[in-house]
Amino acid sequence: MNETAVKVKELVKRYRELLAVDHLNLEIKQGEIFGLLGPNGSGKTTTINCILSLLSYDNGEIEIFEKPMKADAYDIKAKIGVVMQNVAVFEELTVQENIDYFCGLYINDKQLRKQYVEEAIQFTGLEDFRKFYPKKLSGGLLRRLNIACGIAHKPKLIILDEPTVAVDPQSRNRILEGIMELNRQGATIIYTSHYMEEVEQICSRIAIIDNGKCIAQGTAEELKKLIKKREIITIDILSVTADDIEALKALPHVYSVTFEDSKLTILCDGGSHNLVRVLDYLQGKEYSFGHIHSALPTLNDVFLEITGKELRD
Amino acid sequence: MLRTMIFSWKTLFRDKANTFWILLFPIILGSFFKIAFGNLGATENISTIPVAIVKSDSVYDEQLDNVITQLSTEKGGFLEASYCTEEEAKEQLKEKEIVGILHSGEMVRLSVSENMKEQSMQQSILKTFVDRYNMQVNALTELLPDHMEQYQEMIDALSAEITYNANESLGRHPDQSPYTQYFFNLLAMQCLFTAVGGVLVACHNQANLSELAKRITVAPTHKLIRIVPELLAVTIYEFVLNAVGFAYMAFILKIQLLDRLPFTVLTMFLGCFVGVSLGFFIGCFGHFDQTAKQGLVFAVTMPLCFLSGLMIGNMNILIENHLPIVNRLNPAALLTDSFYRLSQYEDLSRFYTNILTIIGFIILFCVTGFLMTRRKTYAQL
Amino acid sequence: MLNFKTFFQIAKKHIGTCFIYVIIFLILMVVMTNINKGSSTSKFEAKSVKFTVIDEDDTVASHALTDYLATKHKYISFEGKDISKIQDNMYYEEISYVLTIPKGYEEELKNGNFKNLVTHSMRTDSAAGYFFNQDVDSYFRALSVYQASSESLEDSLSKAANVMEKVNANEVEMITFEKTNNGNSPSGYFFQYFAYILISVLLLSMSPILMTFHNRDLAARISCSYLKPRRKAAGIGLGAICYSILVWLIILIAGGFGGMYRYDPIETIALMTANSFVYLIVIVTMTLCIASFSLSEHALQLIANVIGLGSSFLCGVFVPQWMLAENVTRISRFFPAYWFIRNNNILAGFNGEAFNPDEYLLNLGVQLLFALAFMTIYFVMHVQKKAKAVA
Repeated sequence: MNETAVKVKELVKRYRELLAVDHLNLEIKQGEIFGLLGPNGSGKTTTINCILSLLSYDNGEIEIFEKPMKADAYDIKAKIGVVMQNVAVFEELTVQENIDYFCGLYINDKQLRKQYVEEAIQFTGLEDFRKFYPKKLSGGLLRRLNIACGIAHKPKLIILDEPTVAVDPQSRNRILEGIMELNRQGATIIYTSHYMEEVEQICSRIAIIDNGKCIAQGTAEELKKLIKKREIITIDILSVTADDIEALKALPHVYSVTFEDSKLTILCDGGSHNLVRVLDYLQGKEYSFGHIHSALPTLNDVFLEITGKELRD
Repeated sequence: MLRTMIFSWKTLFRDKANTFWILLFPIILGSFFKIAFGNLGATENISTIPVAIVKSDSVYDEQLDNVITQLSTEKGGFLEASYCTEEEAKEQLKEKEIVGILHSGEMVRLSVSENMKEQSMQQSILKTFVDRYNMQVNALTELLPDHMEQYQEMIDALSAEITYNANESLGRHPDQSPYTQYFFNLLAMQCLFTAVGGVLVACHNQANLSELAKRITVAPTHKLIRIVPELLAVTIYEFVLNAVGFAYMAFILKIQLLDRLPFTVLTMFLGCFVGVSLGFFIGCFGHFDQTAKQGLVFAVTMPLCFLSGLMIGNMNILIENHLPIVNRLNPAALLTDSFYRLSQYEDLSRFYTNILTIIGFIILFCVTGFLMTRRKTYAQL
Repeated sequence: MLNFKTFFQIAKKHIGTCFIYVIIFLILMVVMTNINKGSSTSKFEAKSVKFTVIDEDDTVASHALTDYLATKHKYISFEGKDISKIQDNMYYEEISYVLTIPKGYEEELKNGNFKNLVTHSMRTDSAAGYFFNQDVDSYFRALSVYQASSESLEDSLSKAANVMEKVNANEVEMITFEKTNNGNSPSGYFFQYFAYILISVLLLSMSPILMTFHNRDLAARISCSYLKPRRKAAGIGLGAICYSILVWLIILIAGGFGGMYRYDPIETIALMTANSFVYLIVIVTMTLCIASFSLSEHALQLIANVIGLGSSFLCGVFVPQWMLAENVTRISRFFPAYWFIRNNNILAGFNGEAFNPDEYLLNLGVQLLFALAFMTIYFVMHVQKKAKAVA
């Protein structure tokens, strides 16, 4: 199962002066859920559109299932399912007809198609809305329809471009679980999002993109190991002296201590029992403190440390 | 293939507002045309003409009097004469109660009003009458002194009931109102307006024009397999709607459209097809949004319709007499001309040429449009 | 003022489409005006009929006939005697009469046989054809009289032509009761087509802008704001009026460059311009009303065409008003274009109609009433829409 599903080599895409994708390299193995993570405007959707041969690109090579991808590579296209960022369905067709239409672009066998459409409806939980027109659907349901239209033909490679934008948490969970289910059934998935929690939750491998460049690639764990920060301890405390800060800094693994707004923040670069050591020190000084919080680094921290800016702005 | 067509029809017919307006458009406009043209030509119909006669108290009065009495009382007479003085006559003319004043004399003189141009035909008929009368009087006056012996022959010649000049018409329906050509033009316009449907097909299949098209473009179906049935579906849809308008004109407005019906229907169908493919062609062109392209379609079809005589009826023949190539290439003119040929000509060779040209256009538009969308990746979405 | 400003910001986005429409219709207007310029002649000539002769005899006698007819009527020659071309011209009434002189015409004349000498083709309902027929008959009658007096054919031909000429020289007296413009200036036609052009250009180019305001979500959003619906409507309306005045000016200036105002006194042009301005206001308010219904672009194009062409045909833009039957003009009174054209007709002096200030003002007044009615509907619709959005 370790063959390559998608290979992107040195991809460059320019919009006049703007360099949207800058020498991007990606390799996605079959059976993976591959996350493309990046802030708005980082080039995720452009990359996807290039992979799909919707956009022409200035440089680079793209292979899907080890064959070069072209606008008329219909054998490859047959294996791909796409869920676009914007909802793309016919206003004039009902839920069921829409799914049937798009499934029909891939599957010619009538019997099989009927079965697939039914499965897609079940899968996205749209059973009660078969005869609804898209106009009458709520935002979340519309997203689900959008997904159903993309996956009904059981593609081997599914590309989802921010499928959860503007979806309530309940629908979102359902969508995420669905994606994992599709993956268990054997589909390779490319998933773009700017919600790092989502990506962290479902993706087996992640590429972080910023300004059209891939700045880091690997599993969530691997990515987190890229940075120094391993543990963040915050403590609500009324006041500490400069000496205390120096003393705390001297503790093993601690590499940064800051105090601001009655909040002490201690960053550690590994090791264990860091919290115990800190608390021991504070108790020894007889400080009284309130809230204690110890957190492991998130992908946001990874992004922050590599690019120097927050992922979400 | 059929599946794509069925889905196209579903999307088209469910857009009720558009369907409604496409359907209603020829019906309303056809009715307006009918109302406007229904009574046109009425002023040209020959009815009796009111005139005033001013006598000159001379020898010429009696002769004129005889003829006038004959023409205003006998069957087939066209005058409604009254006798009065010069002043009274002028007053009547000013009030538009009479069309002209006949002054008796050696030469009968006619006076008409400058402010009654709507009666110019009747004025002309009066003039003809006066001329004829003067001719007879003059000819006789000239000839009689020398040719008394042939007097009877001359009088016979003057009053002979002879048809010098027999009517032999050129067209199939010589009396078809020339305003029928406005309806031909309306049908042609209706056909070309289907271009908007063609734009829709283009937008459905070009990834840089709609979200839907992106999804459709990434599917493994060959473009040709998708576009051809969609074009056909749109054509048939528009054709069905247009056929309703056609039936309304033919059966309710009673416009003469029904002879050679199979040919007429064929023309309608090809008309819709050329319209749709024109729209498809324009739709495949450039990076404007759908609204702008629909505007463009309109901006292209309206002048074509104008050139074929939709607004000014004799535009068509003006071009035919001076720059016939335009009529051979303008789809609106080709359609109008085809309808006209069918209703007026025994010889249909020009009709066939028209139809072939239209088919040529269909192929040209479809093929270039298809070449433009095929294999395309976009620089910008 | 906010909506007023926004109107033009949106308009800027649609400038391309608008430009296309203005250009296209301007071209149409210029072509139309130039075609019709001088088609209405003021001098009364016993309506000169366009005819052609298919002369298969080609003798002195047949030429004499053609020559005589050509002195009085307009002879149109067709190269190669192309029958189908002649037929087309007949159908479109470019010519009204086709006379065929068969072989042996001269022989028949010499034998004194006048029956069925020639044949003709005309529409039986054509008065022009009837009239022409009378002339042909007159000629033969005169000829037969001279032949009956046993003159030689040559003498008869020349004498018949002579007497006809003498008779034709007896001119008709034209009496002018009311002074009119000569009805032959391009400005009259220019403003006449204005009626059609304005409807098309404004409806087509302005409605996309107006539609943006009626977009469901956007309208709901605006109605949530503190702005009173009447003020919103007024802002948009003002924008629309300013926009259309710009379009109007462009057309007027283009007309100036096209030399449309050269032949008329400045007062006439001023009155025509004033008339067109009032008409402009009517059309703007009508457009505002129509755009208040949320319609698709395509539906709007169709509606614009129905209104534009429909009122043009019914109110005398493409077909002169005086040619329309009484019961038609009774219907067309319900269209603002009718009143606009009435004024234009009396100003241009078409059909010998004379200018009369009272009638002019009355026609302007009726147009203003239309504008007022449209305006009221427009405001009512806006206020109601707000109520609906809130409910």
